Amino acid sequence: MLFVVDASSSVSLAEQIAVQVRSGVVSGDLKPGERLPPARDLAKSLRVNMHTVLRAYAELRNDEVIEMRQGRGAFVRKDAGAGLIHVTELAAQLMHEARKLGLTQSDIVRLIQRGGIR
Amino acid sequence: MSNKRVSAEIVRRVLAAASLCVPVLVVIISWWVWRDSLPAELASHWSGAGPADDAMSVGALLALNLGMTGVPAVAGVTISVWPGISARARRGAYFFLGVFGGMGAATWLLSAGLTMQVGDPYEVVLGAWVIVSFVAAGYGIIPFLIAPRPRLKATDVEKRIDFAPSAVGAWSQTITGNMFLWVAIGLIILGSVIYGPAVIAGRALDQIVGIVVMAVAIVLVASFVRLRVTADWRGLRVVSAIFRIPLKRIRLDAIDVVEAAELRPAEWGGWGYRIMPGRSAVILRKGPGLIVTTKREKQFAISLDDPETPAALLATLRDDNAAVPEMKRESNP
Repeated sequence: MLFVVDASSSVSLAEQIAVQVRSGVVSGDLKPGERLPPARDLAKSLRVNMHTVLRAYAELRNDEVIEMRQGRGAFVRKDAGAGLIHVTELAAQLMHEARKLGLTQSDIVRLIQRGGIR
Repeated sequence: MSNKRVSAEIVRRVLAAASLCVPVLVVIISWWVWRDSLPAELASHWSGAGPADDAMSVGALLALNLGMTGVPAVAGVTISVWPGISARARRGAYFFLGVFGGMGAATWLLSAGLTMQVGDPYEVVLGAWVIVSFVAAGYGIIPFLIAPRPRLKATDVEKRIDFAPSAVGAWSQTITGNMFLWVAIGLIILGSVIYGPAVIAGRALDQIVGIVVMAVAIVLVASFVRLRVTADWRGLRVVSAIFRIPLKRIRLDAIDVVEAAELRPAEWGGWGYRIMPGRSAVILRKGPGLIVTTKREKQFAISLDDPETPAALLATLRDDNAAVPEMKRESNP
């Protein structure tokens, strides 16, 4: 799958990588059981520190999207798709309801950020 | 197209045409060398496994074989200079002309050489020498390989990915070649059957060469079972995901054209890891794949599920990479 990181973004590099893995799972680019590139290789490819990739993988593991197998690398969990697809459906529903109320995209982002802080 | 590339293509076309003249020279030179030893008549036709059932005078057979080799040579030279013929059509024509030319020269050599040895043309037995004719038919591959390869036009086939100037992109995929897995399992079973009894009986040292060769073959095949393909600022890399052995590297600045295409095993020499003159490929199935043509006119192809993304990424990175020195020149006049 394609990874793109932007150093000028306000989102951390690790978060950018994690978001793209999640998107890959939802879109089907990453299939359950598929192996992610080794952290060292991906870090070299993206010209970022290996710990940045490891931080992204750790976050994905905590969110139960991937599993780390000792000495074998990171793999997409067999049950990763269902939860993420549910969140995607919720997001689509949120967008639909928000548009009905006349909220703009930045209003929705602000609401989500406020929810996240709480 | 650069002048250097045009010159290289002209040289290749001249050499391909020249290679089609070689069978004519073989006939003429061999006749010149043998002319005093040749009998008046030469065996010219065989109906079965027995001796020849027909003969021709040296002059008639020489004229016939000069025609068989000369017509392809003249046609080859004409095709080389005739404008408007596509490189693909030219290569195909060279191949068939080479087949006819090679067989023509082989026919003369067999008839003249065998009759010279036996003396009486009606007692000449062709036997296993017929294989020479079939081998000579393979001569067609020589002008085919020498001729310029069909070129892709980058602007027609390549797509791009839009990045922010501060963004970095990379693509990675692990692919599984089930075919290599089955071949590796087959080799393990074969190795166990052949060398297992000797190993169990403690006589492994007696067959150490065979065991080592089999082990190396298994490792080589197994290294292709899982491949990690990466496209990034360094270029394209194919690494064995099992043994972490680099199998193919193409630097970004060496890439001329990169495209997603439909790969047909017949066009790449079959399935598996194929190496041909100027081309190599990892063909896992008939279907989508990535083809990279380097500036040195070498091609590499690999079967991938989604070749469009790495193709677009490599084209984008290559162009961005090529633009960097120009930008530096502009900022440092």
